[in-house]
Amino acid sequence: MPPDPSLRHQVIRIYKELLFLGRDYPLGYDYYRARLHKAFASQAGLRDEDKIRRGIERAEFVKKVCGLRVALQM
Amino acid sequence: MLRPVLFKAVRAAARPAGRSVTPIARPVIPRTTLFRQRLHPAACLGAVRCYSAGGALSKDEVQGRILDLLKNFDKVSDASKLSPTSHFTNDLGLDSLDTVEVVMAIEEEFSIEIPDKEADAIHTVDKAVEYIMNQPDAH
Repeated sequence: MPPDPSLRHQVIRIYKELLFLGRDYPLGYDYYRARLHKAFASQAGLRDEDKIRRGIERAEFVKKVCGLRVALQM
Repeated sequence: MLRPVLFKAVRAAARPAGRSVTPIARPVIPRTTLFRQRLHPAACLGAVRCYSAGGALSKDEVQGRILDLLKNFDKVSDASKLSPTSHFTNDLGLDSLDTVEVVMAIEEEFSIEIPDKEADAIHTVDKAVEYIMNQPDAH
């Protein structure tokens, strides 16, 4: 039974946002992209909606930290 | 006899005036910025879009640009399988996250924004070309 498609969109949206935040990652965008991809792909098997929501929350947290780092660098 | 005296007087009168002028004339920097500002639109003229021109993209051009973009995408496992009909997942070995990245690259290439729902439906080069052709804003 596939989970709620709106969760899928949320995941894709946060993936895009995180990709965008990694544009000027110190170790290079390709490195960042590969790591981010791996992190998301490792959770691809999640089917439990609560677990997916928790994953999204974790991604939101990472986004906040990344955004803070970008803001402090400027 | 009178002339040199007159010259001297005129020069003496002009000099302080000239000196008082120099500080005003000195701000060369604002002048250059003014010049730069004036130059700016001309320099960008190449990038200015002429709205009167027929902006429609040809199908071949769109296809070529999308294929080029995929060629440069390092996760495409087998570039020889790249064709106008290739499927992102089945032929090119991309997963759903890579597909998201491809769609983002297409958005950037054509300066448009593809809503989530439409982006979800783009799984082949054909579909992407078709979508772009239906977007009057794409360029």
